[in-house]
Amino acid sequence: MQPNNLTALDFEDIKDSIKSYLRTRTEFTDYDFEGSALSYLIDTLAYNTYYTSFNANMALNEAFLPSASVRDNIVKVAKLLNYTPDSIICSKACLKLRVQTQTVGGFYPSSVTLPRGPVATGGNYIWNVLQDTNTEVDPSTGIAEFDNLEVYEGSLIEYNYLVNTFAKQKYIIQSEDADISTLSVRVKPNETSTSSDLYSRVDNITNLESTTRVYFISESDDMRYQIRFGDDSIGRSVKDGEVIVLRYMVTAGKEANGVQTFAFVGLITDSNQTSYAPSVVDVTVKSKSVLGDDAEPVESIKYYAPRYYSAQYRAVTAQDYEVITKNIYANAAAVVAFGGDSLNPPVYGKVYLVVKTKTGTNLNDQTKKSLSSQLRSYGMASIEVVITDPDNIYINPKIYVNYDTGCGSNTSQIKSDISKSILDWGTQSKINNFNASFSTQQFERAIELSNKCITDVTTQITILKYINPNTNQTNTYCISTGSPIYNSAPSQDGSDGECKKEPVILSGPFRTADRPGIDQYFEDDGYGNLRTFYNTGNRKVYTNNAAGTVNYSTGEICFGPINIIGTGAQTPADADISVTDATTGAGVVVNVDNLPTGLSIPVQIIPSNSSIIPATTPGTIINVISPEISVSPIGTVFPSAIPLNSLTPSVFNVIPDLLDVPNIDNSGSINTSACFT
Amino acid sequence: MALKSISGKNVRRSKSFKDFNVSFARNIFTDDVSSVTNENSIKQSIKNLILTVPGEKPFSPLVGSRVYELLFEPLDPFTIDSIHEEIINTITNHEERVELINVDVTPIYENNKIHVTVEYQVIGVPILEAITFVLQKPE
Repeated sequence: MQPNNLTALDFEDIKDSIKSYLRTRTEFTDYDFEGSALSYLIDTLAYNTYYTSFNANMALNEAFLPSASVRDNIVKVAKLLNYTPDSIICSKACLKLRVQTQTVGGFYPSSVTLPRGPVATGGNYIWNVLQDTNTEVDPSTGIAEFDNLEVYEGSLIEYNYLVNTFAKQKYIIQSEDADISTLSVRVKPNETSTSSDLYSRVDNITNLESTTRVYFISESDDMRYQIRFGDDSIGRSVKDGEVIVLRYMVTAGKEANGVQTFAFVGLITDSNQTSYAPSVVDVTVKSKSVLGDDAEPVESIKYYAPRYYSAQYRAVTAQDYEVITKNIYANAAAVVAFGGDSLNPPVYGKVYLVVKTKTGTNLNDQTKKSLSSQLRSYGMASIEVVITDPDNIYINPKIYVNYDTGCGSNTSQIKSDISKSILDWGTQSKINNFNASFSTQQFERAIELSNKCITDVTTQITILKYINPNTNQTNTYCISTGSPIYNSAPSQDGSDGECKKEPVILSGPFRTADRPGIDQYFEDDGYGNLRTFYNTGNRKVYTNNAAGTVNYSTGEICFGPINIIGTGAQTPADADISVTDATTGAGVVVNVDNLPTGLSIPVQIIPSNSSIIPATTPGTIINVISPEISVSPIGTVFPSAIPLNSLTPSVFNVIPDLLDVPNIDNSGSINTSACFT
Repeated sequence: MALKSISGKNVRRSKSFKDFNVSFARNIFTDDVSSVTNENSIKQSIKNLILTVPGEKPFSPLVGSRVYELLFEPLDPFTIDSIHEEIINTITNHEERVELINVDVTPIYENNKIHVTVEYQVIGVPILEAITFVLQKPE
């Protein structure tokens, strides 16, 4: 008889399979008794089979990326996809050093030098500079400043390999805590030579010649990275007797984040060879230590290796840009890319990239430029990468709830249940991120289910957008809600020329250059025009009935042309303006240079269809402001769902607290400083 | 005289048992591994069970007896009693082919040995069998 169960993986199943075979034979009959010698033999056979099948199962699992569990195996499979996992990353801080130099022969030195290596201590860690740094000395005061000096936590290690091509050498970085982003690889012609060639890291072999000085890096066993050189066909090979100098940081990673105080321990030398003791160097901390991170975890390798491979180091589809941007820019929390052809009107030959940062701040111009130029090397020749800031739409929900007073919950309990439930809803609906839309129905449903005592729920939904004017420039600023705006009196057509509709758009306060002495606001008249006004205390005084346009069906609001010089609390100082009429605020700007910058005007809008607020563009982020919750006993009359005449944009002069939706991604490192790009 | 009615339940069937010999000796007639049958097979099985340490058989942690372990205990009446219990439990639990009649454990203090006699009856065979063996620490 043939063995009947070849796929059994359980010991007892295998043993039963052998027994059922023996049942068909007459030689031995004692297989069923635990004490028999035959039983011991069956145990041995079954154990052997079990062991082999377990091994085969494990070995085969480890051969594939989704099922492997040992890091070395995952890394090896990822290596076939040419994916190099991120190493541990040094925490870095930004310092400003100031030293008073000494004169020699009546003259101050021309420059001072800070040699590479340890320069500061802080939080039980050592902080280093990676390169010798020079700065000029002010010839009149003798003060030298190292501004925006980036210091890295860890120890700067230098490790040499003497090349011997007869031996099978592997050039391995001998620490699992090495930050390979700080790695510098140099090759000296011999041990005594003082000159060396710098080799640069490459990921693929395009554009390499036989003499190009490059190295490849990959993770090898036990999280140590291995360096490989070319073969004189693709990249220059290293020759016998040459010395490879590896310099890198060994670091504690993210443990060193958050250090705020530093003491200088380095040695500054000037061009006259005078050294300055650490005690005479003033240290100012410009940014606490940030950006330290652990080595890439296995789950991340499993996720990104195949996706990175599918992009093939080329950015062709929009998704390629997203994956590559996340890979080359660590501060990107979410990235969305779309072709300019999908815009209205279409823009051909451009790909638009919107980056949401982990800090929540917009990218500065320098970072955008550097990211764009890095991406250009991946993209197709004629495609230009345009990096834009996310278009934020803020949803301001006010929640009104009636509850059954005899049900056993009090108002504070209900409020806290609603808050919890809204957070859950936020997590599930990916709010505060790209590609989300706001559905009032789901939102109200989440509130209704939060506590059994809630009998009725209604919400007032308004949209908040910000206009960011340039100080003292006459411009027209356009924003769009992406969906129609509410019409407060559809039967009126404006034919009487006098009667205006109830405004559905209202702005926060701003100051204009022609009336610098008074806060103005704008609202719509219901017929497609914006009107600016100021309050005298008991009435509105309209200053311009054609201050902009509104398209109620598309949601496009254009404000201007107007010259804004202040918004909200950022008003010009009294000394910088000259007000000729205190009532109307009329006057002129005296000192243009002192006007506030970084202005923003909140604009609150009532949408036509509050049940769904869609994203305007692929780069729109729908943010939900922490809602105001009113809980009242059953029978209380709810306010109207359309909050006419109760818009309060002034409370949003600064961006309000958003729903703090827990992040389900790897939090990574956060860049909160202007020092780092 | 009333006769007791005998049903199928009262009759326990026996069959022939055949196992190979743990010594793996060669049968000179068949040129094959030598075998043990019936009472000899059971005798070998009982000995195997008593000398197996619990946990030794893969995935069957309960099979075996602690006799081997107890041999390293001081030779006193308590140890003797434990060994006696172990042998009874092991045979009762794991050797269903026999009905245990008597276990006799006798210490031999001079040589640190234990003399064990196990008397049993193979079910279905009306003959009393006995195994006698000596337990001692490996030298």
